[in-house]
Amino acid sequence: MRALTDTAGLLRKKDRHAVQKAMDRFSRRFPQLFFGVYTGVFRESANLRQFGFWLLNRAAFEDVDLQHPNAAGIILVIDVEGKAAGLTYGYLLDPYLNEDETFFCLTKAHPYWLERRTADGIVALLRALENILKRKSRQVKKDPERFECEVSPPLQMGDLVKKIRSGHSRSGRRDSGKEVGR
Amino acid sequence: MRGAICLLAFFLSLSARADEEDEPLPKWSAEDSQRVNSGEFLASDILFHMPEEGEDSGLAGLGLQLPEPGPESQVLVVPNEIPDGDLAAYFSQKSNSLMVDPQKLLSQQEYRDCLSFLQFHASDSKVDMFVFLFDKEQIIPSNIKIDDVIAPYLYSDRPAVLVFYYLGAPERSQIQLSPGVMRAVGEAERLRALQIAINQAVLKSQPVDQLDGFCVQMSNRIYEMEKAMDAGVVAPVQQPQIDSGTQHNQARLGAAKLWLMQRSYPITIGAVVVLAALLLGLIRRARETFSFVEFDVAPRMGGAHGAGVGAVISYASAKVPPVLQREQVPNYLRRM
Repeated sequence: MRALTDTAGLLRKKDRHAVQKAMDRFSRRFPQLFFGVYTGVFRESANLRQFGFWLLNRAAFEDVDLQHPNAAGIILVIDVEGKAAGLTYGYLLDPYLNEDETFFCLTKAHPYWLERRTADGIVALLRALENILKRKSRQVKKDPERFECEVSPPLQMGDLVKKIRSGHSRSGRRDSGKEVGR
Repeated sequence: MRGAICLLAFFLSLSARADEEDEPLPKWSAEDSQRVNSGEFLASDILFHMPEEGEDSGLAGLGLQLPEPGPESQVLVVPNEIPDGDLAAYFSQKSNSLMVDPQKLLSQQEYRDCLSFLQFHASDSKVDMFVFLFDKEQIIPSNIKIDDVIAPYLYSDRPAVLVFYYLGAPERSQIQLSPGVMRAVGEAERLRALQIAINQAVLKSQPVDQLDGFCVQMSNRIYEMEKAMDAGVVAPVQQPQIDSGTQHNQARLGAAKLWLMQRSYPITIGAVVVLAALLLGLIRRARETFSFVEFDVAPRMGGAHGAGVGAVISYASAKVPPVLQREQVPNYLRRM
């Protein structure tokens, strides 16, 4: 399938062009990432999260470079009949995105979708997403450990002792607080 | 000759007799006489007796006919226009009279009184006063060059003051002074004299009285001007007033312009450099790419590429805000 798959037939030719242009711009700005859109009718499997999870892990996008694994993807799934949309992202973006931020992006598209302007909504969503990711990219360059600790597996007691003995300097106040909490 | 006169008298008596036969004289009755004597009835009342409806007024029988309105009665005179003929009388040549009133706005007696006053003033002063009289709302046409018209009066042997007076509107009055008088008193005194004369005129209610008051007061002011002229006073030339703030601002503006002109070359270079830097910055920002550090993330829920828990939004209702259309994430999808 292609990154922009409109099985529901929501987008006209002009709309498709606008959405594709926004997706290309996203790919240029974030060379590691790609953005996919899928519109369809989900009568039986109405859970958009489950479908998004399945799509991200199973789909092969023919127009996405092979060096981009699906873990670097962000998939927007739109249920035309249920009038709902969901945003799913891969493991690469796990430290950088959360549910609130993705919901914020969806709210930017909400007024357009209410007026049946699907393409405009997707473009607005992409702009909001770009702004968030730009900020996160700058932040991670300054303080990568802050993001690393978001996704690192919980430390075992033995690991903690080892770190202390090895004189590991990673002892930020927040980190230590989290470690203690864990 | 005598026979002809007798014949004429005979014919006249015949015609009078014929009129008497047509219009019999009224006859007094005893009752009328009694009413007149008692004061109930005046003999002149019959003249003011208005005929009632249906009653014959007697005028029709007299054969009186009012003239039909002719074309002249439909000519409208615009109140602020001066007739062409009168304009020529005002301005075509220098008037010999000190009072110029070709429109005859004043009665003959009023004109004589005013003229005699002006002549008295001229006999007592070195400066003549000419009064051009216009009606209250009249406007001198713009095609008349006033300077050319008044030049013969002002540049003659005797100095003069010209007054353009609008009868009934003294506040519209204007005065012009000969160059010699003007040099002695200046513009400020000219305006002051005019204002004093106007103030004197507006105290009166009747237009002719206003004109008298104006002329008398102007005569007094001319006397003062004459004294200044005899004393050889030269009035200072009035310069347009510029307040110190404006002068200060103009000086600062001039200094700023000079400073800019002296440094135009480096300023231009600086501006070009700044603009180029801004342009480059914009281009660089537009082409900027963003990268992310890839961290090892432990797979969850058997997902090889991702288990990102994104949000889901419903757009079924425009009445409900987006926050309330947010679908809650089940706990099993949350990262533990």
